[in-house]
Amino acid sequence: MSCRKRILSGLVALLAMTLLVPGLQVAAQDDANVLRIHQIVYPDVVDPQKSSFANELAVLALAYEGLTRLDDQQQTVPAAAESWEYNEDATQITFTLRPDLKYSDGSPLTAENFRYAIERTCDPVTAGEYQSILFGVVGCAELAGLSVDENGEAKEYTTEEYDAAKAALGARTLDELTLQVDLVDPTPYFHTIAYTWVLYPVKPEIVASDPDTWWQTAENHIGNGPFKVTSIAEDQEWTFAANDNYWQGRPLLDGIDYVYVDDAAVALEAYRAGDLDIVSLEPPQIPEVQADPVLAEEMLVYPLASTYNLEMNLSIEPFSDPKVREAFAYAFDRETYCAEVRSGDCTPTLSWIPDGTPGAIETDAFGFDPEAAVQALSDSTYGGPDNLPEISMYYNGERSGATERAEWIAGQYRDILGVELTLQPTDGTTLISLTKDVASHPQLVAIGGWAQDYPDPQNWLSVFWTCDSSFAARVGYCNEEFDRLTKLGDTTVDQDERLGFYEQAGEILVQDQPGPFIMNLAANFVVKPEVTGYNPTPAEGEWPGQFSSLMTITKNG
Amino acid sequence: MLEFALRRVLWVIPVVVAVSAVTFFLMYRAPGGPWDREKTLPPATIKALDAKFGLDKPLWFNPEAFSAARDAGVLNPITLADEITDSRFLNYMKGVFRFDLGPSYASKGAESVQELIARKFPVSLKLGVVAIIFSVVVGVPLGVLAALRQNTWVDYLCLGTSTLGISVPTFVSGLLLLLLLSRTFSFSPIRKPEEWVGFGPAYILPGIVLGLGTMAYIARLTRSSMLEIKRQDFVRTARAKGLANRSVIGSHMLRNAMIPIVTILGPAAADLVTGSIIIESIFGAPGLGREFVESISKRDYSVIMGTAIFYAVLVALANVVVDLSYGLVDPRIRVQR
Repeated sequence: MSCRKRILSGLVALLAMTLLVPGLQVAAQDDANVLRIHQIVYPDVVDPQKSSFANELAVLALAYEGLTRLDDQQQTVPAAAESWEYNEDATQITFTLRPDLKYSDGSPLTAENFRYAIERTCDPVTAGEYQSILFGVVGCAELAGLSVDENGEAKEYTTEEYDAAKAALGARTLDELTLQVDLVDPTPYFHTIAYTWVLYPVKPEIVASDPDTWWQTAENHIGNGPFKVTSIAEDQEWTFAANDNYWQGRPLLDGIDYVYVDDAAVALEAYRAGDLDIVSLEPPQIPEVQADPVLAEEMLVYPLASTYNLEMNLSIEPFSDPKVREAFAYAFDRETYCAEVRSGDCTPTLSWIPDGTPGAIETDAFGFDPEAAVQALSDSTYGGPDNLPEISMYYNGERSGATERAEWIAGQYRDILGVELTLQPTDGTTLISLTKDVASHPQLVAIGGWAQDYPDPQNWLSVFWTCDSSFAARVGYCNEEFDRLTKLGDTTVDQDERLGFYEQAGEILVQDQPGPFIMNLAANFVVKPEVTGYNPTPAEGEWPGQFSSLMTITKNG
Repeated sequence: MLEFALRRVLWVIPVVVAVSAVTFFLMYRAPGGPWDREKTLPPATIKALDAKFGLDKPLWFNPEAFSAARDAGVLNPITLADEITDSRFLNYMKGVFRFDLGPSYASKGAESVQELIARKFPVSLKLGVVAIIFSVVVGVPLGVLAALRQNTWVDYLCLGTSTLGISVPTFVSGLLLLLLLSRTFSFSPIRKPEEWVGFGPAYILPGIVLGLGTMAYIARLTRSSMLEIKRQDFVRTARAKGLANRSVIGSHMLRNAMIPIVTILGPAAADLVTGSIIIESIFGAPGLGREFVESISKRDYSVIMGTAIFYAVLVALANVVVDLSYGLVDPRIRVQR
């Protein structure tokens, strides 16, 4: 008996087995104009009034549409509503819907469906994560707040209280095509909020059939967006087909597939094999893609509407001293950080609102300047690096490359300022739980930031940096002049005048340096050359054209 | 024998309670909770979510509810017991013994943990079955071959293969295999959902990669165990009485060499079927392994508890099966009465 023969036949069998596998799985490529888009994380909840994560919104935005929408310049334009009108002081807005709006199943869509979306968002039973986006609507905060007493403790409420709070909600239909919303304060930007997902009109009878699980079934997604959900394969795929009943008509694409692949290398390989048309890249992949002559041509980079900064706790030493903050701002080489440390997945910034978003300002204050950094530190109450207390820098160690980046930052401060930082990696949730309260917020966190909900300076400045904002409170920032200016911006009806107030407020923020502004994140994708008809905006982090180009993007252009 | 089996199975219950308590304790020691977001949620939203999922209750016991009920004049001991046990841990344990593992928080209660396990575990199980079959079918012959041809090139080849299998991590071997197939045969590394249905072809590759380490371990174990037995008197006797080589190896040597292999097969099987986050993520398998790991970073408490308990039961039962199977492989190992 020959042992060699046995090994040989074993090897042949193994080889045959591996060859058989691809043989069985040759992809059936048809000619339908279907875009296959890579998505990384499978959504947890796909319910307009409950969802909060960008990957969930990317699903919803295909199948649903709000009263307004954002065009490819991030301008708010009519969608389900063909027009809207504010009263004189912008405390009331009246939307007029297009006549003959239809759901994807052909049933009529009326103002009542949008009123229901507002009510369901504010409902404490829904407890949606974004309900506070509508707290400017009369009665919304009160309805949502039924579940807490004035001390912030949980409390029970009666059916009568619940019904009364619902009845007091300032959203009403005047007729089938008219929705009127009362606002607590002048809110001249409410038409922009009306684009957000919480206003997507789900059908009440579908939600009522099973409020928690309805969204897991494809047939239940009867929406008013350019596409409709055709199948859901959990953890793997959502498929969509063109919606013939959409008011703008049929999109150019026949369909869209969202393919969930959480391993970046596998997704890029599938792109190479022609199984995906749009793939998002992780920063460590960028050099590899740039070195590949074909992929480099197909790479797409554009800035996103998110700003990141070094988070500093202003209530404890040493960053309670503005001069120390200035020194840390001057000593940060943002150009090198974005170009080399992050492989070009960001653009440097010195202000809070990103370029291209209303309210953005131009500034060169506190840009990289080692000498000014040393000077600022010696001007501080500590007089130099030697008297500084020990500084710990926390970061989310779960992100790929986070440790290298943190070490680079620490190296810069050591070389330029002579300051030794102690690195404290934690997991993401731990870091969030530490930073949510000023009492436990670390001295220094690399890095935190804000991703825009809607393109209005109110979302950037008033929601984040005002004294009563939970975000400013957790780092201990409060400036009354800043609050006064943003309040003026929030309530002034004239658009140009509004922006003027926000720009002044933005300047104050730069002068205060509540945490050095570092970068705007960039989107990095590879897109097949046959995909045309899209113009990505900074709001589109999941894939280029995800909101603004749904009607025009195509593969057979 | 039956009594022994029953006793071993019943022992699983205290194991579950202990595992639950320890998991619960550790889980709540980790900072943060299921509603912690980079964009902090308003207090009203958090309270409403807490109330919906019973997270507003105390952790271990609820003496406040007990005193409140007693002060209100309740004397019924069952009601009072219900009040004091109205805590997060005890409510969860009450659910466990009714086979209710609670709602998953990440999906906002759209799915219960037992539904989640029922949906995802079969995928991990099938991957594990492929892996076990692969590791035994390849590992045992490899080990036998190596032992029979000790210190020849065959031995070195078998040993080399198994050393590679143990030392190359699955995220390397898995990715390499995928890249190789996709570059050489333009085979898409992404599976279609229907390929995971039933015993679809999608299970072959990840199953093999998952089984590599165990295969190597089994090969080495078989080899050393065979080498030891090769020199035993009964083998020499068997050969002396003129038995065919095949039956000496098959019935005399291999059967005796199987004991250590069966010993590790139980825990290894439990390990393989519990799923591997790396394999599942590379091959896009919709299995339970990913859920188990991700639930920790999401602080999805009921999923953490549910999967931990489920795995504990699985490992405990696998060990019972191994203990019972000793008797079958080697009649000399008798169960103590």
